[in-house]
Amino acid sequence: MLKSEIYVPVNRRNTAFSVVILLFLILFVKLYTLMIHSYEEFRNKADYNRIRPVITYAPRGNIYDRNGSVLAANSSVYTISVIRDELTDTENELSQVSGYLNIPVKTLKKNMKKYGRGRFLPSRIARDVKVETLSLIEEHKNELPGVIYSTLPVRYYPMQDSIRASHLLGYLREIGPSDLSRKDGRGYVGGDFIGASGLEYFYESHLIGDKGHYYQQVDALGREAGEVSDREPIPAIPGNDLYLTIESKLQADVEKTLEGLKASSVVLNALTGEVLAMVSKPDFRLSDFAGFMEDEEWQRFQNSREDLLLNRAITGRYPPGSAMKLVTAIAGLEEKLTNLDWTVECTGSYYYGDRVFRCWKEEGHGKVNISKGVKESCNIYFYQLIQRMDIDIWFKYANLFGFGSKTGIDLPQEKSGIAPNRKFMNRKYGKRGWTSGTLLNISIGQGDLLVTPLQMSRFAAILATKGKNIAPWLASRPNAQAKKISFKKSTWDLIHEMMFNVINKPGGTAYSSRIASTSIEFYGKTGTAQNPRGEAHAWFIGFAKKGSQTISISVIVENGGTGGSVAAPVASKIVQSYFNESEAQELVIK
Amino acid sequence: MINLIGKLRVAPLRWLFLAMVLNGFGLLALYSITTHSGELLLSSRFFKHLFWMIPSLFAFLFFLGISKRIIHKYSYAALSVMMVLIIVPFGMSSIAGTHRWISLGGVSFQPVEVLKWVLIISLARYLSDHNLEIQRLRSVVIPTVATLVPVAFVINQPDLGSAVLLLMLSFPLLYWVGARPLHLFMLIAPLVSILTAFSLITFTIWIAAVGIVLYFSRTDLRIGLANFFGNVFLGLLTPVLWGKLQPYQQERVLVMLDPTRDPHGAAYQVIQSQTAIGSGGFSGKGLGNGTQTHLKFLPEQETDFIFSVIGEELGFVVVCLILALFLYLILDIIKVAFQSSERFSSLIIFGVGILFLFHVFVNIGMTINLLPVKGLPLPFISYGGSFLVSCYAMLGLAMNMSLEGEE
Repeated sequence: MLKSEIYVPVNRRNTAFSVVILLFLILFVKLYTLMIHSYEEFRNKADYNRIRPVITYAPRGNIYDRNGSVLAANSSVYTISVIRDELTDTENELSQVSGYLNIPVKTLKKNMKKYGRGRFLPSRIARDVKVETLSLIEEHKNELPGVIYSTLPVRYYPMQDSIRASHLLGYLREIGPSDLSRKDGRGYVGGDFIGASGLEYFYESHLIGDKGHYYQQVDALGREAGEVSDREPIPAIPGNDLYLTIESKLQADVEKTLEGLKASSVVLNALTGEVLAMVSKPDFRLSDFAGFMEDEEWQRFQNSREDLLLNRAITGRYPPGSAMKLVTAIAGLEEKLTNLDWTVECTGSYYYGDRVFRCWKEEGHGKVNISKGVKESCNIYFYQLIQRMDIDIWFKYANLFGFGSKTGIDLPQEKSGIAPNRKFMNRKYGKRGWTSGTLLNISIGQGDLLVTPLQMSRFAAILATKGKNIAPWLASRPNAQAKKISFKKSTWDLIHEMMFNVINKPGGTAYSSRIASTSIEFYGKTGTAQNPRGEAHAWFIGFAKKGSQTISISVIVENGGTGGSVAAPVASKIVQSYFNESEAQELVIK
Repeated sequence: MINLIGKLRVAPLRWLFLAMVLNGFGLLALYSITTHSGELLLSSRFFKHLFWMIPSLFAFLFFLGISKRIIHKYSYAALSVMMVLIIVPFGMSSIAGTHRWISLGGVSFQPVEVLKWVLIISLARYLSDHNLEIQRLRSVVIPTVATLVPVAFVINQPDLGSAVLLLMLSFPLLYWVGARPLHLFMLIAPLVSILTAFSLITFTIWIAAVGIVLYFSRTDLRIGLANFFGNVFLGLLTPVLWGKLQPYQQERVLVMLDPTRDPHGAAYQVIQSQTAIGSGGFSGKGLGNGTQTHLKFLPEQETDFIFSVIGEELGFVVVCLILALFLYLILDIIKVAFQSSERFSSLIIFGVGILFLFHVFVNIGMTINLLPVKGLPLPFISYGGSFLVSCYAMLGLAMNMSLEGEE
């Protein structure tokens, strides 16, 4: 039964041997390829699996004023996060935490989703947590597995109580999806804060620094699993500090002076273009933005108080009113269309074609030459003067002083305003739609003319330096050389004299704002800009000298009334405040 | 008992030694996997595997000691019992989504592991009983068709790896016993016809090849034509049937044939396994230092992918050593099978060798992305009680069969 006389043929045994050896050879070759030939590749793959880079955040650069006082620094707030995988009873734990934090469970869940980066990584559910709350959580940590707390760097404003500088410094905002894709190369990640306005926005790449990494070993589920010893961490590089031209004391005084108004003021060092103070009111506390703000809250903030976020100093566009008469006066003098001897008779009103143009002084100024015209701001004088020139001549001078174009200051969203020229008028009204009558309004700073407070302060600075046209700046000195505007010396001298008289001679529109101190020379021009939205805007522009120092100033109070009674006193106060405080403070900024 | 000691004296004990060495590597890998921060629990799979060696050695001694006559006599009965046992899991609740295990009082075992070698014994008996008719096609067709019955159940467990193994077992045995290559060709041809039917070019080439082979083999014209047109018909029918399946059903079939189609399942596993082995390099990362293993990137590391653990931690040198041990064991088994003067014994020894070969090639091939089929463990090394007992039982069986003229 079992015996068989036929043996297995030798060739079948050999075939079997060959097949076995061949199969093993295939395995051997493939194993050799994997383990010897492609060893590096798979070694890297295995490392890639287990090694997770963890971001270390770079502190944002500080912002200092010209004296080295810190305007914006960094501090940290406590945050509470949950690791979803370690929560044993999500509902109960969240409601317990919600009780301590006084934040609805719904919000916590929303945040958990928003900041969630997987089951095994912490998701931030609350920030700006008080120390007392932390100690509550610490006390109950046995009941709250998976709830952890850590810190988060935020902006901190040490001088906040005296200086807001909210529009100037700008606020930070949590990065949005569009920024994540837009700002390539900066290594932004979700949850980062980026500059959203002001200097924080403009100098974002200067301030931000570079994130670092350290390496953590993780298992297949992404859980932490020990240290990685064979890789050097890459340290974070802190952001660069920013040194401003701002004089904190002055900034604080201007803010205080304008408090409660819708107003703006820009003070420049007329010789260097350094911005000493830039204020826009109303403003807000930057620390409110450093804290956590719900989306809805942010929307409310933005909608109901849109004004708040507006930096009037560079984005507010106003008719300049009578302050602009200086441009018309200079054009007249330079083009030899007027001089001290040329006079007009002001009766309070002026008939041009079928229209009546009025002076602000109903009873009229009587006989007016250029000196009285500027000092007392007589409209009629300038109505007549402008008719001796055309729009091209007027625009040439307005353009020289930078009206209609941006100053180029290192801030975002600066507006250029409007200085109308022939082209502009033709485009707006049609070639025959406007007459030289339209110029009458422009001559006194009304009509289509729109300027920013910064442009006005720069204008005053050019006048103060008799033609040195320097771009205003906050943190980086402009590269371009100052353009010198060359007028006749007599023109400059007369303009200075007239602006001096506006303040210092009885009858001048700002006579009540004169400064008693003889060491301070104060020059200026008021403006009262009619506007369709109620009360006139009160303007003052001017400059002041003390010793070797010269500052220029512009002040506008929206719907404030007349420049002489509202804006000039403010400017006077600011000038006195600056010179009394800044003896021996001629700091040159690196 | 005396008989057993006598047998032990003359049996090729080197096989047992090889098996124990391989088993040791399995234990080493399990020791590494189950040790956590220097702690090894008594309930760990390392100790479980160690414990399973006791019944394994009993099984080995039992199948070494048992009389060949008894094995021959009860082989068909044993096959019948196993056919029933293979169906039993379908009546029980599924384990891990499959019907592979029979659970009794906390111990589960996979009947298919035993079925594999019981089938070898039965095929050996059939082929040795019908050895004079082996040149006839009928003697080739019957055992092949007989194996299709358990295959149908195993494929539904589902356990494609074991099903393919069972299906393929008869071919090497038939070849070993002297079946005409033409007949083997005719058996395998329909399968190839189905697989090539999806591309017109490959199918045309294949059918042409079938025609040429049949023509030159000078087979009976009727059989030749029937075979030829049978294959053509099958090839034409397949796309039609395939088209009638719903897309998700097609996908299910495709994933079963090629698990790497499922990127979250087998594709992930194979990538991690390759990464583990490749990153082991020449000398490995050291026992207990495999990051793929210990950080759980490597799936099924105690069973299907235990070879990847060895590759990662012990490196190319040990991997080659294990390959060499397996190669020597299998070649030696085939050599002994060849030397056997009894057809029944020779077939069983050869079958056991082929079974080991199949397991080793498919398992290692899977871990290095050579073969898509999964689910076959590595003999003596993979964790798993029924399989370890089976392996030692087969070894005892083969050694028993290698002994001449004792009875």
